[in-house]
Amino acid sequence: MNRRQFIKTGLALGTAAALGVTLYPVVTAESSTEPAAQGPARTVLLALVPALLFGALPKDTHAAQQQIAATVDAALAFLPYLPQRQQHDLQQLFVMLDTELLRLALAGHLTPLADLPVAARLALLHGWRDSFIALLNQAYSGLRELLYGSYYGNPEHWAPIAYQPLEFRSYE
Amino acid sequence: MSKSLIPDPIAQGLASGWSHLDASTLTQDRDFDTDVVIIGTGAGGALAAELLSKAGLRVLMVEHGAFYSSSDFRQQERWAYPNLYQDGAGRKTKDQAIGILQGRTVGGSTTVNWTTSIRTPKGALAYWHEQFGVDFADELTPYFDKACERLSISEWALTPNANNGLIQRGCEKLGWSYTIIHRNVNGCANTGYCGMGCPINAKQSMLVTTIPTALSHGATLISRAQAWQLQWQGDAVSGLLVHPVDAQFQPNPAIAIRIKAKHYVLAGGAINSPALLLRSNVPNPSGRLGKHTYLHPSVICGALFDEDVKGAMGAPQSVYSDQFVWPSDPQAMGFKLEAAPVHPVLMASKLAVDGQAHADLMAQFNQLAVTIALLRDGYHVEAQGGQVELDSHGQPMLDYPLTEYFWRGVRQAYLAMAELQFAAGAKAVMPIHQQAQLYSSLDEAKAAINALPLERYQATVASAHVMGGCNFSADPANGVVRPDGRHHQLANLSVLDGSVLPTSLGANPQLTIYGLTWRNTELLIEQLRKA
Ligand SMILES: Cc1cc2nc3c(=O)[nH]c(=O)nc-3n(C[C@H](O)[C@H](O)[C@H](O)COP(=O)(O)OP(=O)(O)OC[C@H]3O[C@@H](n4cnc5c(N)ncnc54)[C@H](O)[C@@H]3O)c2cc1C
Ligand code: SF4
Repeated sequence: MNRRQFIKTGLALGTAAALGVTLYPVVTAESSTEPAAQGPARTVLLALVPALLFGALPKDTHAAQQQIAATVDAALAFLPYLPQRQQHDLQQLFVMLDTELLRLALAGHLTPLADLPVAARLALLHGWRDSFIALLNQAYSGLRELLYGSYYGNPEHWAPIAYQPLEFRSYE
Repeated sequence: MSKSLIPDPIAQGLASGWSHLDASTLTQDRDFDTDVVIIGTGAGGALAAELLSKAGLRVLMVEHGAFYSSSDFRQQERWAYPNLYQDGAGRKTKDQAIGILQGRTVGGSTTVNWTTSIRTPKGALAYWHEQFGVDFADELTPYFDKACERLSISEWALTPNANNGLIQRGCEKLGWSYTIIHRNVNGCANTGYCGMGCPINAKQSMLVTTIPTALSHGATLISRAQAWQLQWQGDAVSGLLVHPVDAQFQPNPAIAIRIKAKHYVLAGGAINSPALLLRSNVPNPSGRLGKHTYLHPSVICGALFDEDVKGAMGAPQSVYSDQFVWPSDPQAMGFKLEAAPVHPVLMASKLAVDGQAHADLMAQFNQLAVTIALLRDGYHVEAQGGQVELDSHGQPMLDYPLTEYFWRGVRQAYLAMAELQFAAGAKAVMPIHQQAQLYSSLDEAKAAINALPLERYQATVASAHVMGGCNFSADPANGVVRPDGRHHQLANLSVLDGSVLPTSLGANPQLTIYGLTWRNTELLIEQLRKA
């Protein structure tokens, strides 16, 4: 991350504080299991999956869309198993990334995440990975783990890696 | 294979009338009264339950996780992690630099562990004697013998899978020491699913051994119930408050299960046991409660082979090397070399790269071997472990700083793993680190490893061995419990799990916990009889 990006990120965090979006756990009744809270999470994850999974997703657009949707569904279904503290932190990250003002400061442009080319989305993620700000490093690692786990947890995505598990009975 | 072909001892036991309550079905408060309540059903809690119930005491077990058994297990990580692991296997240290695997199910971590069974190393015993005034040197031996017999622990007789075989081959080439692992299995079919719950009940986990015995001797099990707080007064515990959990294992504070017992056994494992004591605000004059929590923080090195490795299949661990675990240089952090099973979620989520590079590595999934180095923490001023804190929801967070001493150990560990893997015939190796790449010769790997910036988040660091936080000590000023597991201040409270360890072990912990728990439960039975 260069100095310009660093300042922008600092700005974003400052803005977050000014808007009352705390970056620390807050106790509210809201949980990511509620559909209302899934909005920003779904939008952000749908935008990030194609970047992280670039190279793994099938070339066929329709098939790729299906895999992206299944991966985001799996990630959203997993979140409620995390401690409430971590759920809130993630929720705030999703809200921040879905909020235009913060997107401007964080990513340096006003284009919605989903309208950016895939390479730019990956570059955005790399900005967080290489940032001096621990919170952004955590966001990168957390989202990476969540999304790769959700993608490769799905038996329908195992053919290219030739993973053939034994099944002791039918599961569904 | 159809369901009926594999006998399920849990389903059979429940049908025969075992006393089990799934707390998530409760719609109102409940009260229980018993001789001994045991919190947690892992290595420590379940063994204690067997011994106490066989001694004729009324035992009540409380377990946060569900009572799943082989009929429920699926050989799919997407089912196993959320259903059988703490925080859905997403447990992290406070700054999220270390991922922590811990079981949360009936049988605790033993239901999902990798079956490696090692007696407490002499180096650990000597250190405890010197620093904590506790001499277990010979005393634990008969208890290790008993545990080995009870849990069918013996040397693995089949050929190691290729992922473990590389350790053996590399060590032989380099003249390094290695050991064929002893495993707690009976009729193991070498499937490789230990981490998702053994599908054929071959693993002699607590789920299929001590828990059935305890239940057959009249013990009661309350599953899907998180023990929340101990009530205490003066020097005695007077009650335990428990909350049921929901489908995602989150506690429901609206319903209370109140338990009164003559004696309280805490066996929630490291991180969880100290968290319960912190929530209960128990006396802590030594100031050590929750502190000195150890992880064997582990780093990873992948290796590509021309031939198939198929690291998902076969006993996950069957060979280890102790070449570097007790170095003579007191400033060097020792590390143990082992293999880790290679299943897609574990692999994909731990790889430190992304995009096309990630896809390229995953495409070689079956040719990828994974070696891990477990660093031995707790033996140096710069390796004093982590501290358990409570978040605003009352749930634990482990603040575990990674020091220069640790990172020096990591560099040595990367170098050793690369050398081992090349000696075993790898065509390329890659430390799991954000800035590492595949290196195709040892010289190239060494130069790159020596230049890698070693910092949190850059290197993937993980742990499956959580220890300490309620350490034993002869002197109350230096620990939370006595060497026999009894709490230094609260007379009718024992801690019988991995949280009592005063350091890490430099060896996989389960057999140490069995031996120590067996000894301390026998002492407890004697003490309760006298009282
Ligand atoms: C994936 C994996 C692989 C491993 N492989 C090996 C191996 O090969 N060899 C080895 O020696 N060790 C291995 N280990 C570690 C070993 O299994 C543990 O060190 C050991 O089981 C710890 O025993 P314990 O009694 O301290 O806690 P655990 O076995 O973890 O059991 C604690 C139980 O208490 C429950 N609990 C916690 N808090 C509460 C509460 N408040 N209320 C109710 N219940 C509660 C938990 O849900 C859990 O079920 C592995 C661990 C993992 C996760
Ligand atoms: S390798 Fe398979 S059969 Fe053997 S103990 Fe592990 S899960 Fe059970």
